[in-house]
Amino acid sequence: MAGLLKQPRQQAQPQQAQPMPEQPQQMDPNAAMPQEPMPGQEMPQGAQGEADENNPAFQAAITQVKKALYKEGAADGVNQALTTSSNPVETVSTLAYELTAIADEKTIKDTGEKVPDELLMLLAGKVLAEIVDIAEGSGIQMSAADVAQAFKQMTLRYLGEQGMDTRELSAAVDQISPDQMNQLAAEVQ
Amino acid sequence: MSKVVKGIGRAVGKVVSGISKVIKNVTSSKAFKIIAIAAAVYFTGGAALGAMGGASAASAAGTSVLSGAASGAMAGLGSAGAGITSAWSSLMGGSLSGVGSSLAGGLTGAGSAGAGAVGGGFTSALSSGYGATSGLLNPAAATATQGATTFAANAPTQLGRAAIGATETGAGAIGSMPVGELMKLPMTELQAASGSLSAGQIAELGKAGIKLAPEVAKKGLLRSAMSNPLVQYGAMQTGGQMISGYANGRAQEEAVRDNAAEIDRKEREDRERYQTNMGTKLWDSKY
Repeated sequence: MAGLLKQPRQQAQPQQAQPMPEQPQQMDPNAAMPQEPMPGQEMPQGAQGEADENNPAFQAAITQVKKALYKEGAADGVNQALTTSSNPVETVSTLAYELTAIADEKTIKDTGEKVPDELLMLLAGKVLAEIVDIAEGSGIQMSAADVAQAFKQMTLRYLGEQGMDTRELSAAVDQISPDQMNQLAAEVQ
Repeated sequence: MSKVVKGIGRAVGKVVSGISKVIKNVTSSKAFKIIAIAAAVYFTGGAALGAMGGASAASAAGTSVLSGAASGAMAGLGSAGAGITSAWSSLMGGSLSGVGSSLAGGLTGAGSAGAGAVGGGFTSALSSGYGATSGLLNPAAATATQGATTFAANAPTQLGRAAIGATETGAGAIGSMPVGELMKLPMTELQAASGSLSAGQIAELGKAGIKLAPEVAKKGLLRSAMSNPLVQYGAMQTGGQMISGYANGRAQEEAVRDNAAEIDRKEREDRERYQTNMGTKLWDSKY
């Protein structure tokens, strides 16, 4: 994924509405993102009742993110923002949060459906993973604790924006030290 | 996830419960694995790490990824983990039942040990928040749906207990007082008398809190009402967690309006005083 940054930038795409984008040729086959359907191919419907990753709106949001990052050059912008940032964790968190919000909004605009509530965290997590991959491709080393910190900031920001008092939760999660998080990640992976 | 989400009315409980999907997501991305670990730690105090190991086990030839060393690291979370579950309980209030059941339900397939751990974690959090809810979300004892149903049935009593710290005895005059009368009592008095309330009264108080929350929200009485624990808990239980945000905004709005009204009043008085006094001899000259 991050290797994309080294690829020559693609020609600017016209901004008009386009059909579902094709999978970028350079996409890392090991990427975390689920495969999107080929144009003309129907999205598989999720199980009735509980939304899953096959949910069309979720898939469309993922597509929006990938398209923005790798087709419209946002990855370059992310790269630039990160390399000039004095606080990469904060920057990663903010970029991922904003990108998730934009993808969420654009999905509603384009498809008329919203990403199911229960898939929003998954979408945010996947967007964050993409941004972290780009950061690492930019030569910014992010420890497990840094990634966890970025995720924590996104979560707390979301809850805060919903009018919740996150001070107690913030204090509680701050008790987990970066060393503990790094250790956990090293052992669980 | 920001203004957009507000605009389309995201249910915070459902969004948070979606964390189970992050934890369960088996992926080859190193970054996403770390995020899943962070999610398990920050949302369940580490309890769901067991479930994650179980989920990964499916793709790792049946061997749990969680080694003994990892268990040690989990144990190292210690009180921090407990603090997190407690903080979530406090933050999400009644809607935690939905979160907890969704997490427990979502992780059931990931491994019974892990799911049990999550259920247990939230059961523990609920117990500290609302009194005896032992086993409510434990998938070993009941399915998540049944757990949630049980919680819903018990919610009024739990809410009543939690709001006023009551233990039911039904003693004395207050023990037979109608709930309508109880609701008129100042909260401090209600709390002081909580030891004399009956189980029925506590349940009714919980129900009243649940009913009251949307009404006060509609009437804009939030500034005073949200200081009432019954209403707070009721608001949470009815999924009205957005109310608190609304309440804050509303309270600020009211404060600004009150302030403006006060300024208007003073200006009006000054103007009236000036108009009254203008051209008036305040003191008669005797000379």
